[in-house]
Amino acid sequence: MENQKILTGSGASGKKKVRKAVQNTLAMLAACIVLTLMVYPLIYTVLNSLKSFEDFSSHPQYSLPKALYFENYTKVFENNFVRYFGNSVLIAVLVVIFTVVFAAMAAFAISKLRFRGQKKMEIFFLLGLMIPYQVALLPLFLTYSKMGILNTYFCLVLPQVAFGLPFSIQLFLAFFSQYDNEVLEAAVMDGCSIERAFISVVLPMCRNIIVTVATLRAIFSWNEYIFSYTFVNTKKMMTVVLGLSSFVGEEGRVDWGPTFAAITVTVIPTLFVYAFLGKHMQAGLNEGAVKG
Amino acid sequence: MHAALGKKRTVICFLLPAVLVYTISVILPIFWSGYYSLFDWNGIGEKIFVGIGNFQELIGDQELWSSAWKTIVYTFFQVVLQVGGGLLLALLLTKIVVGRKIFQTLYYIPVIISSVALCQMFKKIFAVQPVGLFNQLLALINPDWIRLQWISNVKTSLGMVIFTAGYKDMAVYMLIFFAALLSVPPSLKEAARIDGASGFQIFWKITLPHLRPTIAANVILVLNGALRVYDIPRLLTMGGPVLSSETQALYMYKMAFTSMRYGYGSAVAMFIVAEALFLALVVKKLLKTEE
Repeated sequence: MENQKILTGSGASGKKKVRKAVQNTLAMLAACIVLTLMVYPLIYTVLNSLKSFEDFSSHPQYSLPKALYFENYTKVFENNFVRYFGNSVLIAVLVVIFTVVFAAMAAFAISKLRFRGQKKMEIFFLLGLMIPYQVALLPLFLTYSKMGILNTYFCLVLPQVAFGLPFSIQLFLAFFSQYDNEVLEAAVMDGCSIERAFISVVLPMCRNIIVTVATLRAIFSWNEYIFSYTFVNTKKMMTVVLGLSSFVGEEGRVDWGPTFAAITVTVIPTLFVYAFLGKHMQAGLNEGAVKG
Repeated sequence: MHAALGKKRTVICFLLPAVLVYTISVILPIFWSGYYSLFDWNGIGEKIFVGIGNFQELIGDQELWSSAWKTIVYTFFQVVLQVGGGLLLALLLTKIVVGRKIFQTLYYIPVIISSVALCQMFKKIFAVQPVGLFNQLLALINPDWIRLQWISNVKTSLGMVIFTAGYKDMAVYMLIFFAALLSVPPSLKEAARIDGASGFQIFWKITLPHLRPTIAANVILVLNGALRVYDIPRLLTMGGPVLSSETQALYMYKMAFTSMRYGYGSAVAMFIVAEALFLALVVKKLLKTEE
């Protein structure tokens, strides 16, 4: 490699260097244009959430706020959003805990324990990736309504856990397939039960994959729409996403400020999670997609 | 050792929670749906057994076929936008020398914004009354364009749904392609370059064949998601105006939950499953024979 660099560097150098520089500049320019397209709608939303109605209606929307106006946010928080936040956080936490625990256990059994039909069990769970959730929607709705558990945390958490399992199990399986058996075997040899070994040896080694699955499920759960829209019809049980939807219907006709504020408020938590854990999330999506 | 790992009680105890939750919420409902689809039922009155009657009705149902056709159009463009666009973005990323990581991270933002929030943003940006950002910008070029309708226009509503959905998920496929691009052996490219191959030739002869399995996997993934799309058309256009952006999942939802035709709605759901499996199979075959 080094030699090559020296060779090309000395001879036909000047022209090539210029070409390379032009290429880099063009790539950078294109990258910045794409960046604007991807990020500007969000910036636009935040900026406009800080404008008063007069400011908003008398100046173009791409202008900056003339003065920072926080009334829009007051309106959002007067409208039950604290409750919606609580609901969404609780649901996301429950979904994450159950999905991670159940998926880790099942994947561990499929890849490390011995039983007949291991491959079949793996395929059984993979099937879930192909099934459109619409099929389940009506039967689940009818069952929940017969049991009288519509508008409960239970009916919001359960289907999210269930539909999150196939992908999560796949991620855990991919991890376990690279994971050495020796440590586990040593622990079992020492007289440790499998259950103990799972908790004290296997789970700590899975730290990264657990963070990945948890981040993915948390963001999906926070953004989940169709199940909550179908199973919830009381304000008390609404999630942030449903709350946003209904808030816009009530407030957003002419005065857009509060709507922009509400959007901003619902997006901020996901941005935070993404900022700190995005790396894990992207790695997980990649892994799952390529293996799938 | 082996005995411990094969103990029946242990195996069951590890598998049971996942199997139970998954079977009850994902697998059993398919059978229920299949069962309901054989009845004429509004949820309150008697279930009336109609056999394949609902499926016979499907065949003559214009709105279903029209929504299925829109879904196919939508799906085709999702493949183009997300797989094609994702690949282009990934190639762009490989060309960036400074701050690549930052670009990669920020491009991903639309993916993590909820559909509800994103659709609200786009509804405002492309609004006509009051005038949204996009038309304000267009008006700088030609003042007449301030009245152009996008979301509420029969001709463009499906296009707007396609654009919004493609915009939202493009970066997912960008990342997958980016990882795949990094795994192309540099020695191969180097050798081709020394032989005098142009950048385009290298891409066409070396990079693209290397990416083929990734492309195939991505096409299947996009296909699977697009055929069942509900959120974005529901939230952006409500399937309208005059059904111009009604996808088959929206139609199914309308039949089942708005018209309260549980049996017929289930038949539509079964149709969607069959169609999705069939198309996934066809595409898998097509991509395989090309190899």
